[in-house]
Amino acid sequence: MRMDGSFTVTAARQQVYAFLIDPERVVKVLPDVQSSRIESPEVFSVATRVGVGPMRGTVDMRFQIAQKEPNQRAVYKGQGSGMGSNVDMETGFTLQDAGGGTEVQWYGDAKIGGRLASVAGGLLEPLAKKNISTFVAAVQRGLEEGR
Amino acid sequence: MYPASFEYARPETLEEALELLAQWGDEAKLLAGGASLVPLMKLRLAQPRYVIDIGRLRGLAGEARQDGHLAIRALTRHVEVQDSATIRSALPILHDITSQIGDPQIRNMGTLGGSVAECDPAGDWAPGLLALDASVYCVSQRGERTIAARDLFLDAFTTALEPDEVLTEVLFPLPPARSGGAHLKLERRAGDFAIANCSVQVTLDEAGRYQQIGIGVGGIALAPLKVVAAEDLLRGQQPGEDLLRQAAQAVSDCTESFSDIRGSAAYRKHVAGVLFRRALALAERRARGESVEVQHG
Amino acid sequence: MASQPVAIRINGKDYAAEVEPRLLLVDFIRRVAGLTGTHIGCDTSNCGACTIHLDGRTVKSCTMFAVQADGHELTTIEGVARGGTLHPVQQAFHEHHGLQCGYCTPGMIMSTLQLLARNSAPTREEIRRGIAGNICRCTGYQGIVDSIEAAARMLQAAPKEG
Repeated sequence: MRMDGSFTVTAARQQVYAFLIDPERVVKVLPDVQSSRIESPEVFSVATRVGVGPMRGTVDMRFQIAQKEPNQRAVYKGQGSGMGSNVDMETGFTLQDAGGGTEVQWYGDAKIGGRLASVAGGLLEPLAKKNISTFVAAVQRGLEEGR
Repeated sequence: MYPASFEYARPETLEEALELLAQWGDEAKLLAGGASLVPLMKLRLAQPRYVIDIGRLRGLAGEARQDGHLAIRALTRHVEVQDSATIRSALPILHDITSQIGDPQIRNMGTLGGSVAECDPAGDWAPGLLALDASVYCVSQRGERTIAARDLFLDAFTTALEPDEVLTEVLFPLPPARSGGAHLKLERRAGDFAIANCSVQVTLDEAGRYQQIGIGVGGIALAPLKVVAAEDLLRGQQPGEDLLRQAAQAVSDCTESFSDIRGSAAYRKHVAGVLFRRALALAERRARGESVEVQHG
Repeated sequence: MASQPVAIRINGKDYAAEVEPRLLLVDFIRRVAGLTGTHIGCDTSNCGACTIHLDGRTVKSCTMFAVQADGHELTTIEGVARGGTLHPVQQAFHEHHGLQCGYCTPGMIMSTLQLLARNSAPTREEIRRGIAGNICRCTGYQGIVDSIEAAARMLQAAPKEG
């Protein structure tokens, strides 16, 4: 399951890049984080509350910055588990100058297996998309506010 | 498989239940029939700290006619609706719905209120409520209110009900003469949730035009949908092949469809349109006074 | 976790125990009452092997908490035969090869009893819909449908047995 999109922020490319490769700042804008731990400048883990209606739980995710091209591109890879299920995801951001600001092209790819996948079935795709959108919106907000 | 531990309360009255809900809020789940909550708890996908068993509250089951409405109370079991001759003659669509839910054991356990409040995107009740322009009555310690079906189903497993509210009744407007409705469902195997389902309720005028029409679909989006675009196309019009094709297209188009083991997105879209046309044809026949059986479980 | 007093009448006999609220009804029947004729098959509310009658209606006892049945009356497969004589439905399953391994049979019989109580002369199609909540992985259902047809005839010939 993959989705992509783009948004534009007023921050300069260098600022956006600095934000994206700084786990400290990224963790702060992630939605519904219960606890987090920065393991190294490139690796961090978070416990996130997830839920749909009565189905609720915590998913522990470990992310690492898998690719860095200064001021151009950053890719996160994450693995996690929770609620009897496992998640593999990858999110990448590519930066371009746009007027005075930066255009951020992003993509997200997630694979979910286990109990949630068997119960929620087709719901997972729209739900995963919604979570990715929330994540991207949070990053965008972080960039706007972080200026 | 065993659920996580929880605290169990079985209030004697609705007031007591509301008090517990007000106190525990989001950490509590109401247990009515348990047909959906218990499996989710066994899988530990739901782990409520408190379970409030309202399954045997007196006065929350049964049906009554009031002010041009048929009121069915929340704890009425699916099988009781299926078996009710008065409901079947007033609103045959409700017999279609309840005959197609799950299997006999599920229909014996599950309740109207539980099913509506759970808001499974592929559940069978919601499209019916949307097609019939029903509303739900709910109460909390803060007061009471009525929510129209079109404002109720917000998202997958998410309704407009607040955590401290209890849905106590569903109000179905009683249709005028020359009305009929039908609900159809396509399932992959017996007892499964729908790949897609569709409810249509129609009132014909003397010339045979669609005076009033309601269309609800499920299984093809995160929430059950009322297909206003197709309703608007048909209202006031004379039935005709071109028009029906357009309306079926509107039903297919309204879906934010997804692929899963039950079917691809394209297949679901197609099926929704097909089910709509078949349900409308049955609804029209019933509106003309024919007694038609829907093939169901 | 506070335990909860539960009293359930099963096949005319009263059973009482203090149980954890999460105890499943099927385990109350099997462990507390010691009635192991009710089987646990899929444990996910699909297969119907655990089907019993609660106040005369079939339910899947793996999908109910024992506390929900507090004060209610159950019938399990052990309560179907009368005085050592098989019920006509049991007799019909025996005679018409309604079982192979027998694991689904108790649930299948409980569903058949309800089906025939609601519809004394079902068609083969109606029979299949009546046992839609029970899965058999051996027979391919032909023998089961034959058995239920035969049971319906036997019960109609001797209506008081039902």
